[in-house]
Amino acid sequence: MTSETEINADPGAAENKKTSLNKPYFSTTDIIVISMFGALGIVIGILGNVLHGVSGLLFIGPFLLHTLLPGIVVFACAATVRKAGTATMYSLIVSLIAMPLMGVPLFIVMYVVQGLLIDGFTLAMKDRMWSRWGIIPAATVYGIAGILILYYVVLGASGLVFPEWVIIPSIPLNLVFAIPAALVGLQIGQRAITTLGG
Amino acid sequence: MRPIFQFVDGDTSVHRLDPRTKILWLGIVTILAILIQRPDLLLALFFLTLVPLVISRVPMHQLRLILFFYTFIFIGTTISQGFFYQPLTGPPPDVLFWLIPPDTPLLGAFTGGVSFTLQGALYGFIQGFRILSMLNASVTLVMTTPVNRIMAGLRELRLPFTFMFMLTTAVRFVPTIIEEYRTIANALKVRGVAKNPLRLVQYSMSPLILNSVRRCSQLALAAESRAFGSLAERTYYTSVKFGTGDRVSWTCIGISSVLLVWLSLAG
Amino acid sequence: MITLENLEFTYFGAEEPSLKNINLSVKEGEFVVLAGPSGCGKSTLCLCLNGIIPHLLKGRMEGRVLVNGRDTRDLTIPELSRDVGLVFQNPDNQIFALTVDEDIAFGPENLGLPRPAMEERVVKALSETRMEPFRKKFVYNLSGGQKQRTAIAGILAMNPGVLVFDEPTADLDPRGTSEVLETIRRLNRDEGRTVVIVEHKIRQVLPLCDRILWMEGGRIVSEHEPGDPLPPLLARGYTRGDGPADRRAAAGQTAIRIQDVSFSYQDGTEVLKGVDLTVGEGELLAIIGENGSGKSTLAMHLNGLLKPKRGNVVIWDKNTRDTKPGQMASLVGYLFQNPDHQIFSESVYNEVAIGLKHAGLSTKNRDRVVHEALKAVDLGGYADRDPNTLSRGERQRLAVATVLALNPRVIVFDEPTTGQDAAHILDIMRYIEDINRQGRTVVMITHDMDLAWSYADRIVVMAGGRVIHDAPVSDTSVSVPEIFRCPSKSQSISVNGVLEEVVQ
Repeated sequence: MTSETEINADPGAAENKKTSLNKPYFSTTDIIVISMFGALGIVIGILGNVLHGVSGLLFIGPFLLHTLLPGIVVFACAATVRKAGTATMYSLIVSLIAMPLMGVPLFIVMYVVQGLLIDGFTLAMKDRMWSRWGIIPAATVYGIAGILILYYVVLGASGLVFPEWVIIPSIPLNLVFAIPAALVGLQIGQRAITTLGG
Repeated sequence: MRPIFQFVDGDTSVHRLDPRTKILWLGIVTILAILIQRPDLLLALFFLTLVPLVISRVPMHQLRLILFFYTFIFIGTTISQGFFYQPLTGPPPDVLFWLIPPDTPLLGAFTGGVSFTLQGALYGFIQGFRILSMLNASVTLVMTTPVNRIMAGLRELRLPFTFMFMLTTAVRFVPTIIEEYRTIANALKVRGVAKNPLRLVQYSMSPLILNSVRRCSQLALAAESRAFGSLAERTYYTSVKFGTGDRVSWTCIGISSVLLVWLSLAG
Repeated sequence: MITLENLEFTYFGAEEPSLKNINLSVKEGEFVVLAGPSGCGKSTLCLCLNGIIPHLLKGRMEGRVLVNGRDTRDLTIPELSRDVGLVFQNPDNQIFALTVDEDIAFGPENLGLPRPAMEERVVKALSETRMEPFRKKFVYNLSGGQKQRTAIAGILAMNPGVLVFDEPTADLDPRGTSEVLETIRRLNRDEGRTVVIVEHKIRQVLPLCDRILWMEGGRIVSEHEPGDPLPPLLARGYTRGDGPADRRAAAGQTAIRIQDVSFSYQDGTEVLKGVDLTVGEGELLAIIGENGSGKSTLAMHLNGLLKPKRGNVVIWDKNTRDTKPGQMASLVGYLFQNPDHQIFSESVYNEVAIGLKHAGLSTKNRDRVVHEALKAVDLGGYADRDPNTLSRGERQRLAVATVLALNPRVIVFDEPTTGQDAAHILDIMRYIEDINRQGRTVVMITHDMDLAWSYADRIVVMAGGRVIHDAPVSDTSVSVPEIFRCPSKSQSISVNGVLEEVVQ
């Protein structure tokens, strides 16, 4: 079986006559890997709900547990493909499907912004991103942004207000989940690369 | 009862609408729900979004789920805003009871006192309609449109092909992954290592992710073998077309949106 | 139609070439079978036929591959896809769209065909694979055989003259296998398409092919035609290590007692309808049956994962109703078909150790037991490796180690040999025989009739949630339903007879 061979599935190189002359940024394998993580993200997103009921509107707790699992998957995806743009594509795929399925389209904004932030870090830090000291800052920003967007954008646009003393302490609480999630995701990503034969 | 909404087959006029109409309806409702501030208009929006749901004849089991969401959301918004909402203008609100009186040591100073007010509760209740309007529009889309038609609709709305491919592939693998998760969970239970749900999830993440990634090399070869990515211009097998129902819907949507926005701006 | 001239290919980073001096000519309309042990290069050869090698996989290729007279190096993969179609082993890893017809259209869409032409091709492909009734169905609702036929239809829609199949039935049950082989036969006989197929199930493809090429170590070693006497490795059947007589001595005590067990799923489907079964200590029992017969469900009652709605399952003196699945682990070991479902640690050592930890073994003993278990499965030096970096066969052995470490008296194997080549099957079965000889009771669930009849002490046949046959292998007085008889030992069934019987 060819499952253990290295794939260099890259249509651009062979197809210069028909497509643009540039090698596509994402190879076919990258595209499929991101799609697969997307499927995982959708399942996790819905699974999270199964475990904790419809969450987020009442109080802090359930939402933070929605940071751990989705966090692992998004960082694992980013750590497998290692190209800027991965996290945003991933977030778009997951949120466009999972959020309407659960009736909460506004969460799309949260997912997408978090994806953009991770990609921003990937762009800025390049290879240094894929180590503990690279991923932790990214996870920190990811976690902080998650809380701020949740309260000020998602809930805010829904007309719901929360006092600072609820929002601010949520941040470190969220980081308690976000940072380990990123570390686990990084490790899984490293192992996933081996699986792909890279 | 799974907390997601699923496609239910039917032959109502809403089912027959072009998926693009329903997708854009969701988008418009979301925008209106954010823009409108007046309580009476929020209520109007909510009832407006009920119309397609009613026409699509929601079956009993989905109705129960919808009502559960309604209840949950109303309780959430009413209670949270009952505690946290402070009107910016006007007389001080009527306090129904104090959760944390301001003179409580430490907590009182930190929070400034937490009381449950009537105005807050009322305000929260009204905001529920905002959220439920978006919920209604989501449910309308998801329950009356099979997912492959939604994909076709998004594609015709000119989302880039590669992204559409990724979206469709992701959705196509969701049931496969759910099945995989169940098998892994069983294997873990059988080995006696997953004694509680938390451990189960912790131990199943790695194999779930890695097994899924393991498929990707072969999928890439299969895609390439079918000429994936070879042409800048590819064609499409499925198609969507606007019909009379869509034209009627667009007229109604247009009129009601303009009306709501105008009334909202007029104060 | 296809010519390979002095073909040699070495994968990037490999020391040895995977293909050595391959010279082969496949004529139009031929049906060629490639056979050989795992790793002999047959899959690599397939990848050379549609251009994946050299365009997509890194390596050094010498010699050339001509498709209809043109060198594959000079053609792009999309260009080659119109001449050569490739179908892989796992149907799930070849399907991208949500419904059958949309997936079939995937190739034509990529080629930029106009809609009417696509429609025509989709309809034709559906008809060729007999998938018309499933046209609008969602893919996740299909059986393995139906999914593979969808994959084949997707390739047919590209309209290639040559079809290459790399172990297309390895992951399928007997029904699925028949469906797919029947489809391939039709495509060859009735439509004149050239077929090159890699298959382990030699006996089933023998009547369909024009010639068989046997490969070893990257070379084509011999060529045979269906009429020729086959070399021993090709004319496979299994032979056991010891005769069943040796094992009889241990029998006496009852290890497993299944009493009038019925079980239904949550949605109401009745899967088991009053099953009675007794397994003696030290027996090697094979449970055979088609997908949906209830055999896997029954097996999952043995480890306590499922509890019967009615009736009882008692293993030694433990009733599964009163025990949690985790508690059964030290009594009943269970091996899932795919080892990747059971492995979740980052190191081989931990994988075994965690199971022991949860069984309550002290740390000192744990270390010793782990190393013993690893040694027993030939993974002695692998303790620090990431299971992910092991080969599939090694992962399978690791899964066995995790189960054996708990020293269970009963072991259940769910489809232990599916997808493996003959040599590996022999290895696995030798292994299972060893375990059995140690006095452990073995229950083996399998599709492979040959395997069951060759190795088991007793055969239990399930159909429709019931046991329809339960007798020792040696007992020839009991008649077995035709489809479940041992094909290689039975003279009354022709292979084609079996094919036609199963496919509607």
